Parts: sequence; structure tokens; C-alpha cells
Amino acid sequence: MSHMINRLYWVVTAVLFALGIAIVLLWTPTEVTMGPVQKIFYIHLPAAICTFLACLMTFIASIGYLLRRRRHWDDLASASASVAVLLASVVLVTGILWGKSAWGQWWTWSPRLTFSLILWLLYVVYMLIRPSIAGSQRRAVVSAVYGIIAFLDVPLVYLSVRLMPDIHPRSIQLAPAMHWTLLYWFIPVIMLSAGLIHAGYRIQRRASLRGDQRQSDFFPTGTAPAGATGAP
Amino acid sequence: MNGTTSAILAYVAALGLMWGYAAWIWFVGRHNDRPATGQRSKS
Repeated sequence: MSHMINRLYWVVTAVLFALGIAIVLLWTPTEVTMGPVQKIFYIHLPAAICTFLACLMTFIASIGYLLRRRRHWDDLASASASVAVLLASVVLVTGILWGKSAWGQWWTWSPRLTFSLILWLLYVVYMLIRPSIAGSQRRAVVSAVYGIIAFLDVPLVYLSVRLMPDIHPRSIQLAPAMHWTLLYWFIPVIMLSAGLIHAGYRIQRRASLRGDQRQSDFFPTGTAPAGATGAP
Repeated sequence: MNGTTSAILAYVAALGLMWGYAAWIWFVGRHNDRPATGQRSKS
């Protein structure tokens, strides 16, 4: 039953994406001054907001792990961080393509672009350092502390455009049709992000439980060295 | 590069990244579901 619901969820998400593309192509008017490049905005902004939400999820799960020391918090933090990297990549790629058409250059070291690149790098490093830390408990603690510190860049990305002079637009005035298209695009992007975090969490969880099983098979109860065991 | 090309490239790249990752997660999940050699499936 849950397998069927899962499959239905992904089919609905795919259909909503296809419908979103049809709306952008056929229904939404082309912006007068910027032209067709403005249509990038409909995927760029929802991806950016979902990046923040995935980072927030990593932040909350990291705090959860440090408070409770339960492995499922670490699994959730890791799954959310992977999705944060994915979505931040989408934001950077779409932003770079926007920049080339709108500003005439691929990249500029403006505050928002720089902090966005730093955010992407922070979460890429999060994913890269995890496998290199020996001991599941130690890995979870280091990742949780790192996940909390990495989140500090999120407010910087958000506020940079408001507090510092920046080439990046602060807000864009949209016609009603454009406004509805933008709101619509939040639905499939949020659904995809949530689905990916859920799927990643299940994979992580299963791997953690298998790791714990292997550890408990290898070390009889009470003899495991410090940091070798997994969740309590 | 004109605006239309940029917009098309942006959507292709964004959807490719998102759904490419989704396909990879699906593949890993499916691979993990398989019982190890010598183990009986619980289903």
C-alpha cells in the first residue's frame, strides 16, 4: 500500500512539473523588458526557497541529534543536506544562465551570489567530510555541529541583497499571470524536495540500521570500542 | 546567448539535475531493498 502511495506521489510530482512547463510556455506572458529569460525566475525562486528549507531541516535535525543523540536525527540531517546541495546547484546554474542574458556576464562577485556560492560549498563539504569521519557517533556529532554552523550562511544569503548594494534584484513586480505561475511552481518543487528528503532519509536509515547490526554482530554487547556503536 | 536559449538551457539543466538525482535515489533505494546473497526476502 505504502509502495503504491509512494509511486502515486512521484507520478503526481512529475505531472505537476510537466504542467508547470506547459503553463510557462503557453499561458504566462513574456516580460516586456527582459524577454524570455525572465521565465527562469519561475524555477529559480522556488528552488532558492526550498534550498533554505532544506538547510533549515539540516539545522533542526542537527540540534535534534545533539539534544537527543538518536541516529535518526543524523540520518535526516544528512538526507536534507544532500537535497540542499542539489537545490543550491539548481539555483546557481539557473542564476548563472540568467546573469549571462540579463547582465551580460556569467558571474559577478556580488554579495548575494558570493554568499550563495559559499552556501553551496558549505553543504558540499558537509557531504564530503561525513564519510571520512571514523565512528558513527563521532561522525554524527561532528556533522551536527557543522550543520548548525553552516546554517549561519542562510540569513546572510537572504539579507545580503537588502543590506548591501547588489546587482541581484531585490524584488520583481509581476503581472497577475506571472504571479500565479510563480506560486504554482512552488508546488512541484516543494513536492520534489520533500520526496527526495524522505527517500534519502529512508536509505540513510536502512544503512544506519545495517551498520548497527554489523557492529553488534562484531562486538558483543558492552565490548564495542568508543565511537564504534551507532544509535542508542 | 539570447534570452530564449538561456531560458531553455536553465530549465533543461534544472529539471535534469532534479530528476537525475531523483532517479539516482530511486536506483540506490531499489538496490538497498534487494536481499543480500543467501538471505530470504521478507516480502
